Amino acid sequence: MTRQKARLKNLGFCVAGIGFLMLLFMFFVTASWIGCEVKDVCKEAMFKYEGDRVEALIKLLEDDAADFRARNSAVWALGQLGDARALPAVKKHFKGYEKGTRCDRGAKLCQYELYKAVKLLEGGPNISAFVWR
Amino acid sequence: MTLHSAGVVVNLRRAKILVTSFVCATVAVGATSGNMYLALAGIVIGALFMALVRRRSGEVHTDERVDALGGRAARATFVIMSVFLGLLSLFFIFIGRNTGDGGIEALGTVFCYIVCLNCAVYSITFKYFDREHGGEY
Repeated sequence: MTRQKARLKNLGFCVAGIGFLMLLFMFFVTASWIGCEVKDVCKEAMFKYEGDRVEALIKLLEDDAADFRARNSAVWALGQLGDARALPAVKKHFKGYEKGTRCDRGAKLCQYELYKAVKLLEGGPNISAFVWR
Repeated sequence: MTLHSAGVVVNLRRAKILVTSFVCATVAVGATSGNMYLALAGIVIGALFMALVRRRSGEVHTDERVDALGGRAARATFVIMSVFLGLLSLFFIFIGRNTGDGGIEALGTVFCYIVCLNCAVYSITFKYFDREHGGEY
């Protein structure tokens, strides 16, 4: 192997290594951020409703008087937590989701959010959860 | 004509001053007229011009002393920032857990990751330069 090739290989390893580390860093930061948001939603729900965080989130989801944004956030947080106790409550509101339909989070329960939550609660992969759970 | 001759150094310095003035003026005009592309074009043209001038001079632009000083300053900055961010992250995580503020705890965690990333990138670049200069580690 010529010296030029060795140098190029060395540079390639260096750039690839640093790129991989940057991606890993972004993944961990994003996962921590998700964890922080989930904890915030749980805290707000537990402030209003009784029970542990999953029970409080289910009660928030079932509360028709509550703001739709808060209820959509509860659905998202339930999906992220992945506790199977929430599956019946989430499934009850899930009417079906068509790809490409947009949702106003302030006006109704978002079917896409429910779809994602159902998938996660049924044991779908959540690659960021191990960082913050 | 080499860089070591005083004339080239003066010419290079003049070119730097000219390019800096040009880039500053273009960015200022772009910012005041709300034209982002003009500012961007000014920066790109300035960078290209400087690269061309440096290439034409065809000589080393820094001496060994400046290189050595830069290396030492970079290492000192790395150590200071790593220690500072490490302590800051511990402080934020501790405060966040005590007050129950998830945002502050997450900030501490992110600082922690930054310190880890810093150390890992340092190791990789160290290895790279070591191999580049013929070391066997």
